[in-house]
Amino acid sequence: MQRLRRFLRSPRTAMWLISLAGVWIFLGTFVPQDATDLVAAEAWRVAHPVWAQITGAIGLQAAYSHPVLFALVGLLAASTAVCAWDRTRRSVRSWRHSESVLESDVAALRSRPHFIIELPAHEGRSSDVLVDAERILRAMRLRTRRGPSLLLARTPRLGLLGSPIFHWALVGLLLAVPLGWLVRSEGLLGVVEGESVIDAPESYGVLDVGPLHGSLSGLEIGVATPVELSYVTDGVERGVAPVVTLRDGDRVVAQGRVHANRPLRYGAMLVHQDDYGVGIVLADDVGGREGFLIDFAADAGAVASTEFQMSSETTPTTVVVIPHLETNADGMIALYEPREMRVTASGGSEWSVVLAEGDRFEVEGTTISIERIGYYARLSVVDNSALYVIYVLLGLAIIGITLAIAAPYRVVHMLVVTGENGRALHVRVAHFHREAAFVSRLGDRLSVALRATERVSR
Amino acid sequence: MTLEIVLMWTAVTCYAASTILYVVGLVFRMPKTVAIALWVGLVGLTPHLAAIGVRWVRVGHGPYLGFYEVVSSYAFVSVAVLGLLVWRRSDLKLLGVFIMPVSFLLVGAAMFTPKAELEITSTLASWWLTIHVTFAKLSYGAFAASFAIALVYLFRDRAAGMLGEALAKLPSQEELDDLGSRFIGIGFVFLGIMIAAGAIWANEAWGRYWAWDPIETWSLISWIVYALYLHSRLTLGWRGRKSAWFAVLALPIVLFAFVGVPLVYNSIHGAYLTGY
Repeated sequence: MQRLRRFLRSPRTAMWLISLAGVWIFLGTFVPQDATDLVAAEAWRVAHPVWAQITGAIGLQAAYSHPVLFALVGLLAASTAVCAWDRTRRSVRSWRHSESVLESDVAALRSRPHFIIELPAHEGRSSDVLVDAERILRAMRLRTRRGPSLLLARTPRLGLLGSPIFHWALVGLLLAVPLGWLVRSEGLLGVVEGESVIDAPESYGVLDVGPLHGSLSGLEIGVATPVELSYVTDGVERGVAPVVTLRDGDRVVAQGRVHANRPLRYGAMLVHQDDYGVGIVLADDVGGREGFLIDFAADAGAVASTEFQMSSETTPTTVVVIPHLETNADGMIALYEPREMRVTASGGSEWSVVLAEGDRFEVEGTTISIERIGYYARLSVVDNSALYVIYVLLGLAIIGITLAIAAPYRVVHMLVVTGENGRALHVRVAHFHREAAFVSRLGDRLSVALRATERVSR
Repeated sequence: MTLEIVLMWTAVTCYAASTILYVVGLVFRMPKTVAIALWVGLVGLTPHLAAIGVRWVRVGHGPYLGFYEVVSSYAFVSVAVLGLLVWRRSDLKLLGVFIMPVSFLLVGAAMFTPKAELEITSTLASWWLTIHVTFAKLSYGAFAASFAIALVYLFRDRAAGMLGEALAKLPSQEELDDLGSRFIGIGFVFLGIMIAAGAIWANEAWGRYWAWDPIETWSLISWIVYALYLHSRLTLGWRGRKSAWFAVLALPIVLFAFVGVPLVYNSIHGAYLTGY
């Protein structure tokens, strides 16, 4: 256990782990990643079969979800935790002793000063020397406490908190980010305007639920009529911006217009606008009702269509509906007004007809009415309870590193020592940044102010 | 547009003149020429800032979009950082011999790229853009300063003759070493804020705070590289030449992350630089 702790607390271990994680992430940038762009990744594999075998063998095309990276991150978290613990203990000790000089400090000042300033024989009393030194230290923005022959100076103690806060926040982030994916759910669902769906797995076209997420919310997700295709606010074209409502039974729990940079929030749930298409609601004469989502084809959308099977005992009939579309002035694909669509049946029945909202047609003895020809909003629904924890940890990490960098903790101890060769000022400096120039600068200023005959660096 | 171009070319001329004067001043041991070189470079900031301002008012957004705006603003930040350094430590004006040519080349390259006026898209229309981009530029400025300081540190010992004499007037190696690491510390914080702001913004815009997009990944790699630098100094006690080489080799990684990645990779972030 001791060996493991020693291994984890070693600065070299930390350097190696950070380096290896960095190298692995770097290597991942050379090949298209499956998780980011599967099509590009497949194309790359086809174009580079030899390299694909090598990268496939080491899992480089899934570099960022690979066990190698998780193992490195896990070890790094452990190493950072041990380091954070050590830093915390050191900081607590320094905080406690920040107003006092221990006997061990005095002993160190006598035997192991960082530098010694030999004072001229005619220089005044010890306390006068320290008054001059105190002036210098205050000019260097250090707080001082002075005794008859001893001087303590330090920067604000807040600087002591920086490094531990940063390292603990980093440990939290190294754990919370991967664990966050386990408690997260993300999916895409389509809602026809004026309709609503339940936040349940069957409503989603694409759904990715982390193993620790639990069940979906069961809230009703509705999209109001009409779906705005070219919403402009603050002089910026926001594109498609549906008004989305979240209901818990009859109670509206959240409602708002959703567009890029403006998701709808409810607790840890975020609803983003992703895309849009044509939404058609058909109803039959026995109470059946179904919404159909039609995505636009890549080019102009004119051929967007959907089809459904009518089951009968004799011959199945395929009914294809093709909405009439146009590209509007904003470059958006829109429904042609008046809203119509061509309905074509093939199989048992063979016919083709153009119908509008409210019209009916008959297939295999069933009367079907066209309840709505409109748009549907494809919504991205993310539920991530770890998100705000991650934000808090990010904030703490930034506060911590800012304190550590901008307000480093420095302590200066000075002691006037009288010896056979006269008096000398012994100086020890503790500074978390190990700034050699700070020690030199202090020595230079003290030497001038105290008219030193000699300065000896140890 | 014409006014902006005239202002930009004025700035380019100042930066070019500053570069030439720095070289002449060093080669012919003319300290006054070096001082003039600095002032000419700093004077160039005025038309440069005015050009950025004119464009900002006209297109309705800061220098965030397209190669021309982004690279030109990085050149501006480089010279502004030089000014800031000299304001705090006048003996650092010789750093301009490294910073001015880089700034001149950056802004010169920007002038020969298309100056398309890209509109802020719905994804970019966010306060996070300002925070994200501001900290990106600040971090670049800090790393550029550390880069120049590290170059001086590395070559001062070896510089003979005129250059050696000129460089000898700079602060001590010890001070340069500390100063360079302080800039890297500040840049590290700014880069961290940039990454955090970008993550929060990505979550607002796309519902994902991290998607391993090439720019995100390279920003993280840059942050890791500087984390290694700081770690090596603070825990392993690396100092002097090792640290300086580290700082010199790290800057190209940041530059690649900020400017090179959108040109090499197909990235959802690419639109800010390439416009598509």
